[in-house]
Amino acid sequence: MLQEEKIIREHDSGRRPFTVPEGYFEGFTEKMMTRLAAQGNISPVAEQNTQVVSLPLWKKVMRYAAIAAVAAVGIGGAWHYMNHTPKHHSEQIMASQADSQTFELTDEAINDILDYEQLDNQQIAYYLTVAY
Amino acid sequence: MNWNEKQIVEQLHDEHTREHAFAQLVDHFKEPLYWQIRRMVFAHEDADDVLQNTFVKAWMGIENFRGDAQLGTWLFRIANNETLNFLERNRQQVSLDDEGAAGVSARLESDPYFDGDETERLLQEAVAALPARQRQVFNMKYFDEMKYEDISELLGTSVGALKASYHHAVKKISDFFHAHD
Repeated sequence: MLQEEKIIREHDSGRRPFTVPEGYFEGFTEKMMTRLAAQGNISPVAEQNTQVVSLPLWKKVMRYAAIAAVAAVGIGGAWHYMNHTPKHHSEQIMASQADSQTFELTDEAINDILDYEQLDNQQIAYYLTVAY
Repeated sequence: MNWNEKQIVEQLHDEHTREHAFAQLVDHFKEPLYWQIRRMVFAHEDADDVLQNTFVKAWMGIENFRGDAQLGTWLFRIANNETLNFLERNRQQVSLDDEGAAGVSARLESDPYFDGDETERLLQEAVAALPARQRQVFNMKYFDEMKYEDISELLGTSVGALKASYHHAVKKISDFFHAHD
């Protein structure tokens, strides 16, 4: 060892005094991949990490039962409306529809509707894995 | 997770598995690269910036990685370039005569992510006063206890030049301590 190096060792506690914020390394990889995704270099992190998980049978049954119940209420409601609404009321509605002005949707409005209605892959994956 | 470099390299070259493999690569190398950078730039925020830029550059150049060197060596070289560019931009390369080295000590004193005592601050101040290349060689030899041959591969500098650089560095630091004793 160099003489000068010995002098340095005498002044060196051997401890490494630098620290990092709590959880820094644990969260770094996700932060990094999110940054790459934000820059448009890769697809969003959620997509990469999402795994398709099979739902348990009872959840599937519950889901279909809920869908069936909603459909039944809707059909029943429609049937009730059609059979219990006075005829003259139906005619009034039809007449007012005939009189109503047609209107045009702007491109912006159509895009808003499409954005609202369309689910992307990431959202679908989220609903399949997290929401249920 | 077990690190299988051959497999990771193959996955990095397949666009279907690239992102997943790159996340593994980040996970595997983030800490050693961070400390390499941190000892050069001192502040955590700066080290974090340089580390992120290193991985961005790596991602952008991943298709050019042909496996001639190990992934760690390749990443280290990118990190090294990013660090030197950062130092150049921020003009942190100071000499022992400059007030800048003392400024590093003052900054470390108020740095929440530095918990060294006065002697440890003085050592870092002395290291900060070295030219960037000498600082790098000193850190790798003194703190990391790396062999000259390994440093030579990483930095692309001859062993003889590294020994001379290290000798100059320890001489300057020991002189620094003499001056402060």
